[in-house]
Amino acid sequence: MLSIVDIRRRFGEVQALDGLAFSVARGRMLGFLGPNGAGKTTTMRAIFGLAGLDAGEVLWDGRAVTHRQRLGFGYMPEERGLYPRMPVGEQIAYFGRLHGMSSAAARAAASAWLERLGLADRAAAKLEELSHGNQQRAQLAAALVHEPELLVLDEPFAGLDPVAVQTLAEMLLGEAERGAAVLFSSHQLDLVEDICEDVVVIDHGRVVADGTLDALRRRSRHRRIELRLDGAPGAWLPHVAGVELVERHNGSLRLEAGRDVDPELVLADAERTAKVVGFSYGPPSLTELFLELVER
Amino acid sequence: MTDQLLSELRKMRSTRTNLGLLGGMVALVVVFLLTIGLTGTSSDLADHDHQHRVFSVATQAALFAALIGVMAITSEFRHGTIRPTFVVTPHRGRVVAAKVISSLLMGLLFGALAVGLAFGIGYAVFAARGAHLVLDRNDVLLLVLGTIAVTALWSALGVGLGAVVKNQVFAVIALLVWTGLVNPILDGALPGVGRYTPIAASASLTADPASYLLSPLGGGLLLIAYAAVFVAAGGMLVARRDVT
Repeated sequence: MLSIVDIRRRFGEVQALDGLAFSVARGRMLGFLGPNGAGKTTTMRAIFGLAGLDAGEVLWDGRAVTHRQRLGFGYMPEERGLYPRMPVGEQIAYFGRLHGMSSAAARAAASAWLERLGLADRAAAKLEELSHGNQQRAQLAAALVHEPELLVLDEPFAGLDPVAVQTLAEMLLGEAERGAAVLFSSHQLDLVEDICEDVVVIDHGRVVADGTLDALRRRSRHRRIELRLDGAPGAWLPHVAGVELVERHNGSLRLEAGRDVDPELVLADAERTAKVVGFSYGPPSLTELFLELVER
Repeated sequence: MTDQLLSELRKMRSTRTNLGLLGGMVALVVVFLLTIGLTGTSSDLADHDHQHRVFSVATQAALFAALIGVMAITSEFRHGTIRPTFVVTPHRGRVVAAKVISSLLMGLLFGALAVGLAFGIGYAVFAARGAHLVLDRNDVLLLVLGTIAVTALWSALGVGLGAVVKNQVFAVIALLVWTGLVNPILDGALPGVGRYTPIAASASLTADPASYLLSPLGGGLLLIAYAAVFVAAGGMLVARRDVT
């Protein structure tokens, strides 16, 4: 298990990390969320010793991370880091060797990963000859080639097309199923909602929410109500205290209600006004929850 | 450390820019040699100082060696490959040391090649124009060993400069502006100060006959000091800085 324990880091006047603490267990996938400048990248760099800490610790299985353990981790930074003129297959194998694999094992693993990522036919191509999406796949292969126990990915989905997003999401789920602890940051919250069991939301270098996605959504102060009405007046709104309009579109209303509001009251009011053809009630989406948590 | 050094040597060997620098160095040395050798008068060619100038064209290799050193570290920052390098080798001083050693070896190679070209083509030009070599054994020895040492030390200085500046473009510009602009101005305007610059120290090491220079030993020690200061400063900054 990776444990981030009360880490702190100041850059001049800015307290980038301010007592941040959370953990990721083996076999779990954690979405690491926060607005720009919240401290996500600095935290990830600190896990790999690339950014120094003023205080706090990064632990693996309860002890300070050793160099040998770090060699068993995989890291995909937001700013990619591969050799542009080195053939892709050779490069992935090289990264495997850097992480302690034998030459033969690294070559075999590189071939296997390139096959899985659909890059087998580009193994001899130089990295700079690949498209952005394929370079990203190669970067992922470099992070995965040594079967890491911990996988840390900084904005891995940024700039990918939907097919590549799907492929990458499946890869990450596969890694968690294999038993790796997976930590990744993303601003694509719908995607995080689909594939993550756990999330940590940080802001100003502090954790503002931490737990399973379901629990966090249930804990929210708000609930979402969606109504589809037939024949309602254009400006109609339910006369129920604590209910606010979020969006109105072609007879559909998205409402935000306080957790204590009885949805039956909203439904009854709507039925008095028009024919209700659709009604749903539930906790907020991750996007709504995120906005609620980091409201400024 | 051995693995790190082998890895650095492999990078040196497979980097296309280094091959380009090698080609550029050979072309520049050949053009300078032919220009100076073929355009001098007969009395020039028989002159001790002129002959020294012809053979010391080889010291131009030092600039290319310095660029090799600068590239060795700044290209890692530029392409982001410094991150996996430091994850795998968290003792960053070792990474810098391996880059210094591998660059030194490249510098020795560049220096030896430049000296070979200078003496090969230089002798051929003198022979073709019927000039006798007036440089003594000591002059030749200092030119050969001094040039190779100068080139190697500039490559180490380049690594240090690259580590301090980090940004490849800025580091290359800083090197070119210093060698092509600041140093010559300083040399002309304030020769008392100019004799202590890295370029003057390099010239001293090859026993350039200019009267205001230091002794070969003094020049050599001063150039070593420059390289050591840059490498130490670069190593310290690399160790302290966050890797972004």
